[in-house]
Amino acid sequence: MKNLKSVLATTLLLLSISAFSQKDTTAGQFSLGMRSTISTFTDAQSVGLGAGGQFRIRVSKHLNTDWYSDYINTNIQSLGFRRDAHIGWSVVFYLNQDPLVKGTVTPYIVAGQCFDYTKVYSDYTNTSMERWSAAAAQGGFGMTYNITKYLDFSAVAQYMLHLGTNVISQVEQTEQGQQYLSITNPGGASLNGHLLITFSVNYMLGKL
Amino acid sequence: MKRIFLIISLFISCTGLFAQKDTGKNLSWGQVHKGILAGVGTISVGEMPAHNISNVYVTGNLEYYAQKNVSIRGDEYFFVNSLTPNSPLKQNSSVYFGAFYHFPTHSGFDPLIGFQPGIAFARTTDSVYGKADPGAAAPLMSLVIGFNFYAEKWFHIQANIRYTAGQESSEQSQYNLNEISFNFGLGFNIDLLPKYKCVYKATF
Repeated sequence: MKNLKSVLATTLLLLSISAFSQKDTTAGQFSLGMRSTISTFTDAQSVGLGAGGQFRIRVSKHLNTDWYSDYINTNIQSLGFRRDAHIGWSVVFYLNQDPLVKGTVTPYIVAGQCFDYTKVYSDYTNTSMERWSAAAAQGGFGMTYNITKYLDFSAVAQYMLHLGTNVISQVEQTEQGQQYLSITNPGGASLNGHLLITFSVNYMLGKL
Repeated sequence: MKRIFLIISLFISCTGLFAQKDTGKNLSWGQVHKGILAGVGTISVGEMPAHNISNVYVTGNLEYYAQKNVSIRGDEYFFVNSLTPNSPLKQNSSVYFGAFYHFPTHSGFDPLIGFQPGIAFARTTDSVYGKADPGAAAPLMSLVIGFNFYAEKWFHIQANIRYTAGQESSEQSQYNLNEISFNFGLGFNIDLLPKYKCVYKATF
Protein backbone atom coordinates (compact mmCIF):
# COMPACT_ATOMS: atom_id res chain seq x y z
CA MET A 1 0.00 0.00 0.00
CA LYS A 2 2.85 2.31 0.94
CA ASN A 3 4.57 1.42 -2.34
CA LEU A 4 1.42 2.17 -4.29
CA LYS A 5 1.16 5.60 -2.67
CA SER A 6 4.76 6.46 -3.49
CA VAL A 7 4.32 5.27 -7.10
CA LEU A 8 1.19 7.39 -7.40
CA ALA A 9 2.93 10.44 -5.90
CA THR A 10 5.94 10.00 -8.18
CA THR A 11 3.71 9.60 -11.23
CA LEU A 12 1.77 12.75 -10.34
CA LEU A 13 4.99 14.66 -9.79
CA LEU A 14 6.41 13.49 -13.13
CA LEU A 15 3.18 14.35 -14.92
CA SER A 16 3.20 17.85 -13.38
CA ILE A 17 6.81 18.38 -14.36
CA SER A 18 6.17 17.20 -17.90
CA ALA A 19 3.13 19.48 -18.17
CA PHE A 20 5.11 22.52 -17.08
CA SER A 21 8.14 21.59 -19.14
CA GLN A 22 6.13 21.66 -22.39
CA LYS A 23 7.58 24.48 -24.40
CA ASP A 24 5.18 27.41 -24.77
CA THR A 25 5.59 28.29 -28.42
CA THR A 26 3.17 31.20 -28.23
CA ALA A 27 5.08 33.32 -25.72
CA GLY A 28 6.68 36.38 -27.27
CA GLN A 29 4.40 36.65 -30.29
CA PHE A 30 4.32 40.25 -31.47
CA SER A 31 1.31 41.71 -33.30
CA LEU A 32 0.79 45.16 -34.72
CA GLY A 33 -2.65 46.61 -35.37
CA MET A 34 -4.85 49.60 -36.10
CA ARG A 35 -8.04 50.37 -34.21
CA SER A 36 -11.20 52.44 -34.40
CA THR A 37 -13.05 53.25 -31.22
CA ILE A 38 -16.62 54.33 -30.60
CA SER A 39 -17.00 56.23 -27.34
CA THR A 40 -20.43 56.22 -25.71
CA PHE A 41 -22.04 57.50 -22.50
CA THR A 42 -19.82 60.57 -22.41
CA ASP A 43 -21.01 64.18 -22.12
CA ALA A 44 -24.73 64.62 -22.80
CA GLN A 45 -24.94 61.00 -23.99
CA SER A 46 -23.06 61.92 -27.19
CA VAL A 47 -21.21 59.36 -29.27
CA GLY A 48 -17.61 59.92 -30.35
CA LEU A 49 -15.33 58.28 -32.87
CA GLY A 50 -11.63 57.63 -32.55
CA ALA A 51 -8.66 56.14 -34.33
CA GLY A 52 -5.44 54.69 -33.03
CA GLY A 53 -2.91 51.93 -33.04
CA GLN A 54 -1.80 49.08 -30.85
CA PHE A 55 0.69 46.31 -30.47
CA ARG A 56 0.38 43.05 -28.60
CA ILE A 57 3.02 40.97 -26.86
CA ARG A 58 1.81 37.51 -25.95
CA VAL A 59 2.91 36.16 -22.61
CA SER A 60 1.55 32.63 -22.82
CA LYS A 61 -1.09 30.56 -24.59
CA HIS A 62 -3.96 32.22 -22.74
CA LEU A 63 -2.40 35.53 -21.77
CA ASN A 64 -1.65 38.51 -23.97
CA THR A 65 -0.77 42.16 -23.37
CA ASP A 66 -2.19 45.01 -25.41
CA TRP A 67 -0.41 48.40 -25.68
CA TYR A 68 -2.44 51.09 -27.38
CA SER A 69 -3.06 54.75 -28.12
CA ASP A 70 -6.35 56.39 -29.18
CA TYR A 71 -7.49 59.82 -30.30
CA ILE A 72 -11.25 60.28 -29.91
CA ASN A 73 -13.45 63.12 -31.09
CA THR A 74 -16.99 63.65 -29.77
CA ASN A 75 -19.46 66.16 -31.11
CA ILE A 76 -21.68 67.11 -28.14
CA GLN A 77 -25.04 67.76 -29.79
CA SER A 78 -23.41 70.44 -32.00
CA LEU A 79 -23.05 72.60 -28.89
CA GLY A 80 -19.39 71.85 -28.36
CA PHE A 81 -16.94 69.01 -28.53
CA ARG A 82 -14.81 66.75 -26.45
CA ARG A 83 -11.40 65.34 -27.34
CA ASP A 84 -9.86 62.35 -25.61
CA ALA A 85 -6.37 60.97 -26.01
CA HIS A 86 -5.46 57.66 -24.39
CA ILE A 87 -2.16 55.84 -24.04
CA GLY A 88 -2.44 52.64 -22.09
CA TRP A 89 -2.04 48.93 -21.70
CA SER A 90 -4.26 45.97 -20.96
CA VAL A 91 -3.91 42.37 -19.99
CA VAL A 92 -5.93 40.02 -22.17
CA PHE A 93 -7.04 36.61 -20.93
CA TYR A 94 -8.35 34.18 -23.57
CA LEU A 95 -11.24 32.08 -22.38
CA ASN A 96 -11.29 29.12 -24.76
CA GLN A 97 -9.04 26.10 -24.70
CA ASP A 98 -7.24 26.74 -28.00
CA PRO A 99 -7.17 30.49 -28.53
CA LEU A 100 -6.35 32.32 -31.75
CA VAL A 101 -6.86 29.40 -34.13
CA LYS A 102 -7.62 30.24 -37.77
CA GLY A 103 -11.33 30.37 -38.51
CA THR A 104 -12.45 30.43 -34.88
CA VAL A 105 -13.74 33.05 -32.47
CA THR A 106 -11.76 33.53 -29.27
CA PRO A 107 -13.61 35.27 -26.43
CA TYR A 108 -11.52 37.11 -23.89
CA ILE A 109 -11.67 39.36 -20.86
CA VAL A 110 -9.50 42.43 -20.68
CA ALA A 111 -8.39 44.84 -17.95
CA GLY A 112 -5.78 47.54 -17.74
CA GLN A 113 -4.69 51.09 -17.06
CA CYS A 114 -4.22 54.19 -19.20
CA PHE A 115 -3.02 57.79 -19.24
CA ASP A 116 -5.68 60.15 -20.46
CA TYR A 117 -6.07 63.71 -21.75
CA THR A 118 -9.52 65.27 -22.12
CA LYS A 119 -10.56 68.65 -23.49
CA VAL A 120 -14.15 69.87 -23.49
CA TYR A 121 -15.20 72.97 -25.44
CA SER A 122 -18.48 74.91 -25.44
CA ASP A 123 -19.53 76.94 -28.52
CA TYR A 124 -21.87 79.21 -26.56
CA THR A 125 -19.44 80.32 -23.89
CA ASN A 126 -16.40 79.97 -26.18
CA THR A 127 -14.50 78.36 -23.31
CA SER A 128 -12.75 75.06 -22.82
CA MET A 129 -11.40 72.96 -19.99
CA GLU A 130 -8.68 70.33 -19.98
CA ARG A 131 -7.88 67.43 -17.74
CA TRP A 132 -4.93 65.07 -17.42
CA SER A 133 -5.38 61.77 -15.69
CA ALA A 134 -2.85 59.06 -15.01
CA ALA A 135 -5.17 56.88 -13.04
CA ALA A 136 -7.66 55.69 -15.61
CA ALA A 137 -8.58 52.03 -15.51
CA GLN A 138 -10.53 49.96 -17.99
CA GLY A 139 -12.00 46.50 -18.18
CA GLY A 140 -14.35 44.59 -20.42
CA PHE A 141 -15.08 41.72 -22.72
CA GLY A 142 -13.98 41.09 -26.29
CA MET A 143 -13.80 38.62 -29.12
CA THR A 144 -11.12 37.89 -31.68
CA TYR A 145 -11.72 36.21 -35.00
CA ASN A 146 -8.64 34.81 -36.71
CA ILE A 147 -9.08 35.32 -40.45
CA THR A 148 -5.75 33.62 -41.05
CA LYS A 149 -3.06 32.26 -38.75
CA TYR A 150 -1.48 35.71 -38.60
CA LEU A 151 -4.35 38.16 -39.15
CA ASP A 152 -7.18 38.72 -36.71
CA PHE A 153 -10.15 41.02 -36.33
CA SER A 154 -11.07 41.96 -32.77
CA ALA A 155 -14.04 43.69 -31.20
CA VAL A 156 -14.00 44.65 -27.54
CA ALA A 157 -16.30 46.61 -25.22
CA GLN A 158 -14.61 48.20 -22.21
CA TYR A 159 -15.72 50.59 -19.54
CA MET A 160 -13.03 53.16 -18.78
CA LEU A 161 -12.99 55.09 -15.49
CA HIS A 162 -11.02 58.34 -15.24
CA LEU A 163 -9.88 59.49 -11.84
CA GLY A 164 -8.80 63.11 -12.22
CA THR A 165 -9.80 66.75 -12.01
CA ASN A 166 -13.53 67.16 -11.83
CA VAL A 167 -14.81 68.63 -15.13
CA ILE A 168 -18.58 68.62 -15.50
CA SER A 169 -20.15 69.30 -18.88
CA GLN A 170 -23.90 69.27 -19.38
CA VAL A 171 -26.49 70.71 -21.74
CA GLU A 172 -28.44 73.59 -20.19
CA GLN A 173 -30.88 76.25 -21.39
CA THR A 174 -30.67 80.03 -21.35
CA GLU A 175 -33.66 82.10 -20.21
CA GLN A 176 -34.57 82.47 -23.88
CA GLY A 177 -34.70 78.70 -24.21
CA GLN A 178 -31.49 78.33 -26.19
CA GLN A 179 -29.55 75.18 -25.44
CA TYR A 180 -25.87 75.44 -24.63
CA LEU A 181 -23.07 73.35 -23.21
CA SER A 182 -22.11 74.31 -19.71
CA ILE A 183 -18.61 73.38 -18.49
CA THR A 184 -17.76 73.73 -14.82
CA ASN A 185 -14.94 72.75 -12.54
CA PRO A 186 -16.33 72.46 -9.02
CA GLY A 187 -12.95 71.35 -7.67
CA GLY A 188 -11.81 68.07 -6.23
CA ALA A 189 -11.45 64.80 -7.99
CA SER A 190 -14.07 62.88 -9.92
CA LEU A 191 -14.67 59.40 -11.16
CA ASN A 192 -16.05 59.81 -14.69
CA GLY A 193 -16.21 57.10 -17.26
CA HIS A 194 -17.23 56.08 -20.73
CA LEU A 195 -17.95 52.90 -22.62
CA LEU A 196 -15.47 52.24 -25.41
CA ILE A 197 -16.25 49.84 -28.24
CA THR A 198 -13.10 49.12 -30.21
CA PHE A 199 -12.66 47.34 -33.55
CA SER A 200 -9.15 46.43 -34.60
CA VAL A 201 -7.19 44.44 -37.12
CA ASN A 202 -3.93 42.93 -35.96
CA TYR A 203 -1.16 41.22 -37.84
CA MET A 204 1.32 38.94 -36.13
CA LEU A 205 4.78 39.93 -37.32
CA GLY A 206 6.74 37.26 -35.47
CA LYS A 207 8.26 36.45 -32.10
CA LEU A 208 10.37 38.69 -29.96
CA MET B 1 -14.76 41.09 -100.60
CA LYS B 2 -11.21 42.15 -99.98
CA ARG B 3 -12.29 43.89 -96.76
CA ILE B 4 -14.04 40.77 -95.50
CA PHE B 5 -10.96 38.70 -96.26
CA LEU B 6 -8.77 41.25 -94.46
CA ILE B 7 -11.02 41.27 -91.39
CA ILE B 8 -11.16 37.45 -91.26
CA SER B 9 -7.36 37.27 -91.63
CA LEU B 10 -6.87 39.76 -88.81
CA PHE B 11 -9.34 37.89 -86.60
CA ILE B 12 -7.61 34.54 -87.22
CA SER B 13 -4.18 36.01 -86.51
CA CYS B 14 -5.45 37.60 -83.29
CA THR B 15 -7.03 34.32 -82.19
CA GLY B 16 -3.70 32.64 -82.86
CA LEU B 17 -1.96 35.12 -80.59
CA PHE B 18 -4.32 34.48 -77.71
CA ALA B 19 -4.22 30.74 -78.28
CA GLN B 20 -0.48 30.52 -77.66
CA LYS B 21 0.22 28.10 -74.88
CA ASP B 22 1.10 29.85 -71.64
CA THR B 23 4.47 29.02 -70.20
CA GLY B 24 5.12 28.96 -66.50
CA LYS B 25 6.92 32.27 -66.79
CA ASN B 26 4.04 34.36 -67.99
CA LEU B 27 1.46 32.56 -65.85
CA SER B 28 3.20 33.96 -62.78
CA TRP B 29 2.38 37.51 -63.81
CA GLY B 30 -1.29 37.24 -63.08
CA GLN B 31 -0.98 35.32 -59.84
CA VAL B 32 -1.70 36.84 -56.45
CA HIS B 33 1.01 35.76 -54.04
CA LYS B 34 2.99 36.65 -50.95
CA GLY B 35 5.62 39.31 -51.49
CA ILE B 36 3.86 41.62 -53.94
CA LEU B 37 4.48 45.31 -53.32
CA ALA B 38 1.85 47.31 -55.18
CA GLY B 39 1.25 51.01 -55.52
CA VAL B 40 -1.56 52.98 -57.11
CA GLY B 41 -2.04 56.67 -57.80
CA THR B 42 -5.36 57.91 -59.10
CA ILE B 43 -8.31 60.26 -58.68
CA SER B 44 -11.12 59.60 -56.23
CA VAL B 45 -14.59 61.07 -56.07
CA GLY B 46 -16.50 61.16 -52.79
CA GLU B 47 -20.05 61.97 -51.79
CA MET B 48 -20.97 63.30 -48.34
CA PRO B 49 -24.62 62.37 -47.79
CA ALA B 50 -25.02 64.57 -44.69
CA HIS B 51 -24.26 67.72 -46.69
CA ASN B 52 -25.08 66.54 -50.21
CA ILE B 53 -21.70 67.61 -51.55
CA SER B 54 -19.18 65.84 -53.78
CA ASN B 55 -15.42 66.10 -53.41
CA VAL B 56 -12.42 65.24 -55.56
CA TYR B 57 -9.17 63.81 -54.22
CA VAL B 58 -5.82 62.78 -55.59
CA THR B 59 -5.33 59.43 -53.95
CA GLY B 60 -2.59 56.85 -53.69
CA ASN B 61 -1.86 53.69 -51.79
CA LEU B 62 0.98 51.33 -51.10
CA GLU B 63 0.20 47.70 -50.35
CA TYR B 64 2.33 44.73 -49.33
CA TYR B 65 1.09 41.15 -49.46
CA ALA B 66 2.35 39.68 -46.19
CA GLN B 67 0.51 36.49 -47.11
CA LYS B 68 -1.22 35.46 -50.32
CA ASN B 69 -4.57 36.52 -48.87
CA VAL B 70 -3.51 39.22 -46.41
CA SER B 71 -2.02 42.60 -47.21
CA ILE B 72 -1.02 45.64 -45.20
CA ARG B 73 -1.96 48.89 -46.92
CA GLY B 74 -1.60 52.62 -46.39
CA ASP B 75 -3.69 55.16 -48.31
CA GLU B 76 -3.57 58.92 -48.69
CA TYR B 77 -6.33 61.19 -49.96
CA PHE B 78 -5.28 64.69 -50.92
CA PHE B 79 -8.29 67.00 -51.08
CA VAL B 80 -8.45 68.91 -54.38
CA ASN B 81 -11.81 70.64 -54.09
CA SER B 82 -15.55 70.18 -53.77
CA LEU B 83 -17.48 69.71 -56.98
CA THR B 84 -20.54 71.28 -55.36
CA PRO B 85 -20.73 75.09 -55.63
CA ASN B 86 -20.55 77.02 -52.33
CA SER B 87 -19.37 73.97 -50.42
CA PRO B 88 -18.17 74.97 -46.92
CA LEU B 89 -15.52 72.25 -46.96
CA LYS B 90 -12.13 73.71 -47.85
CA GLN B 91 -9.80 70.95 -46.71
CA ASN B 92 -10.28 67.26 -46.04
CA SER B 93 -7.00 65.47 -46.73
CA SER B 94 -6.53 62.18 -44.95
CA VAL B 95 -4.30 59.18 -44.41
CA TYR B 96 -5.37 55.61 -43.61
CA PHE B 97 -3.55 52.48 -42.55
CA GLY B 98 -4.87 48.96 -42.05
CA ALA B 99 -5.13 45.39 -43.23
CA PHE B 100 -6.95 43.77 -46.14
CA TYR B 101 -8.26 40.28 -46.68
CA HIS B 102 -8.06 39.00 -50.26
CA PHE B 103 -10.64 36.37 -51.18
CA PRO B 104 -8.93 33.36 -52.79
CA THR B 105 -9.40 33.01 -56.55
CA HIS B 106 -7.66 30.99 -59.24
CA SER B 107 -6.86 33.96 -61.41
CA GLY B 108 -5.43 37.46 -61.30
CA PHE B 109 -8.79 38.75 -60.14
CA ASP B 110 -8.29 39.75 -56.52
CA PRO B 111 -11.46 40.79 -54.64
CA LEU B 112 -10.72 42.36 -51.27
CA ILE B 113 -12.18 43.79 -48.10
CA GLY B 114 -10.28 46.00 -45.69
CA PHE B 115 -10.52 47.90 -42.45
CA GLN B 116 -8.52 51.10 -42.15
CA PRO B 117 -8.61 53.60 -39.33
CA GLY B 118 -7.24 56.97 -40.37
CA ILE B 119 -6.90 60.63 -39.62
CA ALA B 120 -8.01 63.66 -41.61
CA PHE B 121 -7.08 67.29 -41.52
CA ALA B 122 -10.34 69.13 -42.20
CA ARG B 123 -11.22 72.80 -42.44
CA THR B 124 -14.41 74.66 -43.33
CA THR B 125 -15.43 78.24 -44.09
CA ASP B 126 -17.17 78.48 -40.68
CA SER B 127 -16.07 81.18 -38.29
CA VAL B 128 -16.87 82.26 -34.73
CA TYR B 129 -16.50 85.82 -33.46
CA GLY B 130 -14.78 86.70 -36.73
CA LYS B 131 -12.15 84.01 -36.29
CA ALA B 132 -11.96 81.58 -39.21
CA ASP B 133 -11.79 77.83 -38.74
CA PRO B 134 -8.08 76.92 -38.61
CA GLY B 135 -8.91 73.24 -39.18
CA ALA B 136 -8.51 70.25 -36.92
CA ALA B 137 -7.36 66.66 -36.97
CA ALA B 138 -10.27 64.25 -37.10
CA PRO B 139 -10.03 60.52 -36.41
CA LEU B 140 -11.63 58.36 -39.07
CA MET B 141 -12.93 54.82 -39.37
CA SER B 142 -13.24 53.29 -42.83
CA LEU B 143 -14.28 50.10 -44.54
CA VAL B 144 -13.10 49.32 -48.06
CA ILE B 145 -14.35 46.82 -50.62
CA GLY B 146 -12.95 46.45 -54.10
CA PHE B 147 -10.67 44.42 -56.32
CA ASN B 148 -7.29 44.31 -57.99
CA PHE B 149 -6.73 42.65 -61.33
CA TYR B 150 -3.22 41.37 -61.96
CA ALA B 151 -2.91 40.65 -65.66
CA GLU B 152 0.50 42.05 -66.51
CA LYS B 153 3.92 41.54 -64.98
CA TRP B 154 4.34 45.06 -63.66
CA PHE B 155 0.86 46.56 -63.73
CA HIS B 156 -2.55 45.93 -62.28
CA ILE B 157 -5.95 47.58 -62.19
CA GLN B 158 -7.56 48.59 -58.92
CA ALA B 159 -11.07 49.73 -57.97
CA ASN B 160 -12.24 50.58 -54.44
CA ILE B 161 -15.34 51.79 -52.71
CA ARG B 162 -14.64 53.28 -49.29
CA TYR B 163 -17.04 54.29 -46.55
CA THR B 164 -15.49 56.74 -44.10
CA ALA B 165 -16.97 57.91 -40.80
CA GLY B 166 -15.58 60.94 -38.99
CA GLN B 167 -16.23 64.35 -37.51
CA GLU B 168 -14.24 67.58 -37.61
CA SER B 169 -14.41 69.39 -34.28
CA SER B 170 -12.66 72.69 -33.96
CA GLU B 171 -13.62 75.73 -31.92
CA GLN B 172 -15.14 77.25 -35.04
CA SER B 173 -16.72 74.27 -36.72
CA GLN B 174 -18.31 70.88 -36.11
CA TYR B 175 -18.56 69.20 -39.47
CA ASN B 176 -19.64 65.67 -40.25
CA LEU B 177 -17.08 64.00 -42.54
CA ASN B 178 -18.99 60.80 -43.34
CA GLU B 179 -18.33 60.01 -46.98
CA ILE B 180 -18.59 57.28 -49.57
CA SER B 181 -15.84 57.47 -52.17
CA PHE B 182 -14.85 55.61 -55.30
CA ASN B 183 -11.54 55.29 -57.08
CA PHE B 184 -10.36 53.36 -60.11
CA GLY B 185 -6.87 53.33 -61.53
CA LEU B 186 -3.79 51.63 -62.83
CA GLY B 187 -1.19 50.42 -60.37
CA PHE B 188 2.41 49.32 -60.46
CA ASN B 189 3.63 46.16 -58.72
CA ILE B 190 6.90 44.38 -58.06
CA ASP B 191 7.88 41.16 -56.30
CA LEU B 192 9.90 41.66 -53.17
CA LEU B 193 10.50 37.95 -52.60
CA PRO B 194 12.73 36.54 -55.37
CA LYS B 195 11.61 32.95 -54.86
CA TYR B 196 8.19 33.86 -56.17
CA LYS B 197 9.48 35.36 -59.39
CA CYS B 198 8.57 33.43 -62.52
CA VAL B 199 7.26 30.50 -60.50
CA TYR B 200 3.74 29.39 -61.18
CA LYS B 201 1.96 27.40 -58.53
CA ALA B 202 -1.72 26.78 -58.05
CA THR B 203 -1.52 28.26 -54.59
CA PHE B 204 -5.22 28.41 -53.82
